[in-house]
Amino acid sequence: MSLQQTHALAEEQSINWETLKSRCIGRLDLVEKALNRFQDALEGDLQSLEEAVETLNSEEVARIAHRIKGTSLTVSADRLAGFALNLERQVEADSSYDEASLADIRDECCRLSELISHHRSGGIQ
Amino acid sequence: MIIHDRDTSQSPILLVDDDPACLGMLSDVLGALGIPVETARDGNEALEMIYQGDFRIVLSDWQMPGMSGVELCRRVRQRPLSGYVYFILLTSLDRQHNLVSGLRAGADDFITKPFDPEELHIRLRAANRIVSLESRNVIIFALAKLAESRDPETGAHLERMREYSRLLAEDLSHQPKYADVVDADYVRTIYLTSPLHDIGKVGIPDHVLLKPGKLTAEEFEIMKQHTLVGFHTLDAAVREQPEAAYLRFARDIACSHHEKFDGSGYPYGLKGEDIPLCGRIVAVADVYDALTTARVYKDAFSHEKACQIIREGRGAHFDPDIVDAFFRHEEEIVDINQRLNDALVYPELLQMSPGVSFPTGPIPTTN
Repeated sequence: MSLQQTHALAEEQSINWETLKSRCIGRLDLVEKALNRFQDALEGDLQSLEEAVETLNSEEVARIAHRIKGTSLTVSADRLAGFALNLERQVEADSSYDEASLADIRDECCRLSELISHHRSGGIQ
Repeated sequence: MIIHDRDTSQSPILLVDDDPACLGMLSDVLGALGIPVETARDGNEALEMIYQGDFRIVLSDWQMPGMSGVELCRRVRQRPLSGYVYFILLTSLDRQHNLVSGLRAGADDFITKPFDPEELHIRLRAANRIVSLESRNVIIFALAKLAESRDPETGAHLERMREYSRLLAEDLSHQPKYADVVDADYVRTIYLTSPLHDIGKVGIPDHVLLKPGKLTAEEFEIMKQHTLVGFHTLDAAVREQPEAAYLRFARDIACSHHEKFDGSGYPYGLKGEDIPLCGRIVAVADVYDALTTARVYKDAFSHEKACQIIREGRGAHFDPDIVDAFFRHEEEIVDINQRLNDALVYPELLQMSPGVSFPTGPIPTTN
């Protein structure tokens, strides 16, 4: 396995591969384990977030957004972490949130899931 | 980054986080660094593991559903445990956590999430050093007190002894002749280990050790064995942990503190600088304290009388350099003797040893 090489600017990457690799002390097997765990957690968290939105449970929305942010930062999925932080702050400010924030999170989760699956299948060399 | 061989003697670190991704990565990275870990997914599980297990370092997320990291820390501090638990809280970069509340709960350190493995590793090593030091210092003194407990007359002897030894070593560190040998670490080590000088007395039978009077020649031969019992006990510890310099130091003190500068001491009759310096220092401290302390068979000598004996022993019993150091700090010696007076430090001794008259105020000026 090798890490993704990209010519995109750092802020445009869904995952900052260099910081992730550094956090995993350069061990690619640990990077892969971390991404697998992240993908599993993301599915559950996204589903819980949708349920909390449907039931209008803003406290739960904030809690899950906080959790997604922490999980994303752990694997250097910085863009998703930023979207989750935005949602968390909106809810904490006035117990409400806009649809655009939720859409950003959904879209980024899809992108990350595809990216990790592709990475796992060895598509990114 | 240093990767350790797995140290099976080290207690595992308890990682607590409700986020499986973060918990898993922390666990993987620390495991890869050779640091044993166990994990808990919430505060309640962690608390139970701390009570049941052997954790000296806990690394917990701050924000968790149910019991927060701060609350977990508070509960750990509320219950007396067998050893100190070093508690590190993980905080989010974007959150202005009230660190004071973490400190009030008893947290020792904070690490921001997402963690930097280098920083995490360094902080955990520091934590481990602190936990090890606490264990080491307490165990050394407890061992010494255990040995001393067989002889209730000795009171605060160990406390005074280590103060005298530190004072003498500190003086030598300023003398050009000893500047290369006696540094701040040497002074700290002699303070730490000098209380072990008589640990070999645990191997001396009661009828000799507790005899309320002068020993016969045969009994004295038995008593002399305490230096070798101490040596062999501590030497076994040195072989178990050869990198622990303080154990070698303690072993040398136990073996050599009854040697005399002119070669007439025991157990080996070593002479002059063949006697380890730490043993020569402790010899002066030990004899001065024995002279100024009451025993069943003698009253406490005055400071002046003790000084006269030490002066007369200069170059014979004692290393002249250390005797000179002693007299450069006579006032401080008297201060230690009075401050750590047996009757003040251990008032229960008066009841334990009714035949002995302990000085209760400043030590007598004449004798």
